[in-house]
Amino acid sequence: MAKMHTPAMEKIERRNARRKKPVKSTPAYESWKRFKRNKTAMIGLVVVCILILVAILAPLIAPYDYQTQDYTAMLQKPSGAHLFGTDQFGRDIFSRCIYGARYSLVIALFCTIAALFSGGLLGIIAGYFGGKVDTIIMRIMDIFQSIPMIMFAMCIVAVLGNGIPQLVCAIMFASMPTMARNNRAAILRVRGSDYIEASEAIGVGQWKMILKHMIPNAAGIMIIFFVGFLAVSILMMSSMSYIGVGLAAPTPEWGLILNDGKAYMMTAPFMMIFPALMIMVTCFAFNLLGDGLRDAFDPKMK
Amino acid sequence: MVKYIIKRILLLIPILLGVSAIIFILKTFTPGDPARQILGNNATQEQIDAKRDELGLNDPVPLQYVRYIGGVVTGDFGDSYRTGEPVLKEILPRLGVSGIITLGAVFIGAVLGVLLGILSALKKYTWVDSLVLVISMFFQSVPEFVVGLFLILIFAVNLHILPANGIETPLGFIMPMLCVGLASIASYTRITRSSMLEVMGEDYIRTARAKGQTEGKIVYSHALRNAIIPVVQSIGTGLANSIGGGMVIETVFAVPGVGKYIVDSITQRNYPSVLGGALIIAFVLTIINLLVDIAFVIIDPRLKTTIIAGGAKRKKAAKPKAA
Repeated sequence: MAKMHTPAMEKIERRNARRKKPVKSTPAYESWKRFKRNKTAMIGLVVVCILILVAILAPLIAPYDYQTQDYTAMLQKPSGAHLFGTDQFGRDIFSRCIYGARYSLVIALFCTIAALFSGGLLGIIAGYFGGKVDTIIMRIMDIFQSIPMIMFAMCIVAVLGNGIPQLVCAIMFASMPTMARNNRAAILRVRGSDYIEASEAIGVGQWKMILKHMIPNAAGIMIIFFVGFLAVSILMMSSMSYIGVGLAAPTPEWGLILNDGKAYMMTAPFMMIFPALMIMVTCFAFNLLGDGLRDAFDPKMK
Repeated sequence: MVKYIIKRILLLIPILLGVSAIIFILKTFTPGDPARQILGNNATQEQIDAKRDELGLNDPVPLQYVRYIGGVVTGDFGDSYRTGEPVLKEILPRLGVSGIITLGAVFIGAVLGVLLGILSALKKYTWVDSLVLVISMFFQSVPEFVVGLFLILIFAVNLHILPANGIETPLGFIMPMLCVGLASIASYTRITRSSMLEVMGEDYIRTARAKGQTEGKIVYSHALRNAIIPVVQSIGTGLANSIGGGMVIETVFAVPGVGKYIVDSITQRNYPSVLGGALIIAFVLTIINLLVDIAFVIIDPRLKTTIIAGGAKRKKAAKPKAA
C-alpha cells in the first residue's frame, strides 16, 4: 500500500521521529497520564507542593518569630507590617500561620504514618491470613469503631495529657479500625489474582509474598487512603485543639490559633479568618489530590 | 430472620463489653486521684483514704471492672465526680438534645447530598458535575467548627437573626444542625452519583425511555427508587460521624447535649461521666445500625441475601484460595 502524504500524517511522522524511543506503558505511567489530565487534581498537587515548601522554608518566609510577643502592637488589623494582623499578645498571625503549616503538616504526616503502620498492618494480616485471624482482628476493630473516632481520640488525650506525641498516639488508635478495614479490602482485591496463586505454587514464603507481591500491587489504593487520611488528621487535630484537647499553647497549630481568637471574635474577626483559611485550603488540596489519585489509580472506582 | 435479629442483638454484648473495657483501661492509667478530685485540696489523708475505700478504688482493677459492668446491667453508670449525681440521670435529658441535632444534621446532609448527587449524575462530565464535586468537597475539607464560627459571624454577629449559642429558642438548633449536616454532604453526594450512574445504564431505564416515559418520571420513579438504597444504607456510618462532629459543634455553640457533656467531663477528668457517655453512645449507635439493617430487609426483600449472608460471604472471600 502506498504511503499517504497528507499534512496530518507528516506531522505525526515528524513527531514520531523526534521521539528517541517509544514510551513505555507501565501502569504507573498510565496512572500519571490520567492524573495529569485531571485539572482539579493538578491544582491540589500544586497547592500541596506550595504548602510543603512553606513548611520547609518557614523561617525564611515568616517576617517575625511565632512566639515573640510585642505589647506595643496588640490586636492590630491586617496591615503592611502584619499581613494577617496580630493577636492579643502582639504576635504576628501571619508568622504563626506559616509556622503552623510546619506543625500541622508534620503532625498529620506522623499521625498518618502511625495509623498506616498499626491499622494498616492489622488489615494486611487480616486480609492475607483470613479465617480465624481475620475474624478476631475485625471483630476487635468493630468494637473500636462503635465509638465515634474523634471521641475516642479525645478520651485517649484526656488520659495521656496534651502534647504532640500524645496527640499522634490518640489519632493513631482512633483511626486504626478505618485503616485496618481499608487495607484489608485493598489486600483482598489482589488476594485472588492469578500471580498470587502462581507465587503460592512456586513456594514463595508468606512474608515475602506480602511484602513483595501483595503490598506493591495494593499500593495504589493504599496511597489514596494515605493522602485522604492526611486531610482527616488535620481536621481532627484542629478540631481537638480548638476545644482545648490535644495541643497546648504556644504551639502555632492552626486549631490553637483559632482557639486564641475565640474570645476576640466580635472585635477582631481576622484572628480567626486567616488560620481557618489555612485549614480549609490545606484540607481542600489534600482532598482534591486524593480524589485525583483515586481516579488515576483506579478508574473503575469512579 | 428472627434468628438473624437475635444473633445481631447477641453481638451487642461483646461490643459493649469491649468498649467499656477500653475506656476502663484508659481510666485506670489516668494520672491523678479521683478521691482527691472529689474532696478538693483541703481534704486530709484520712478523708481521702475513706473516699477511696468508698469508691472501691483500692480493689484490683478487674474487680472494679466487674463491679462496674454489674452496675451498668442494672442501669447504674456510677456517679459523676463533679456533681455527685448519677451519670445516667445527667445524660438522659441531654440525649434528646443531641438526638435532635444529629437527626437534623443527617436529614440536611442526606437531602442536600442526594440532590447534588442526582444533579451531578444527570450532568455527568460537565461543569455542573465538577462544580458539585468542588462544593461537596469544600464542606468535607472545612472542619465543622470553622463552618460554625463563620455562621456565627454572619448570622449572629452581623445579621442578628440567630442566637450565637444555647438552645433557649428552637432557632438555636439551626446552626449546629447546618454545621454537622454540611460536613456530611460529600459522602452522600458521592454514593448517590455513582449509584445513579449505575442505575441509569440499566435495561429497564432504556425500556422506560423507549416507551416514551418523560425524563423526570424516569429519574424519579425508575432510577432514584433503585439508586437510593445504598445511600440510605450509608446513613448508619453517617450517624457515627455526625455524632462525632456533633461533639465539637455542641461545644462551639454551647448546646447542652451529650457531646458537650463528654468534652466537659474529659477536660474535668470526670471519668464516670466519660465512660457512661461513651457507652451510651456506642449502645445507641449499634442499636440504630441494627434497626437500619432490619428495616432494609423488610422494605427490600432482595437485600435479605446481602445483609444476612454478609458475614458468611465476607468470611468466604477472606479465606485463602484453595489452589
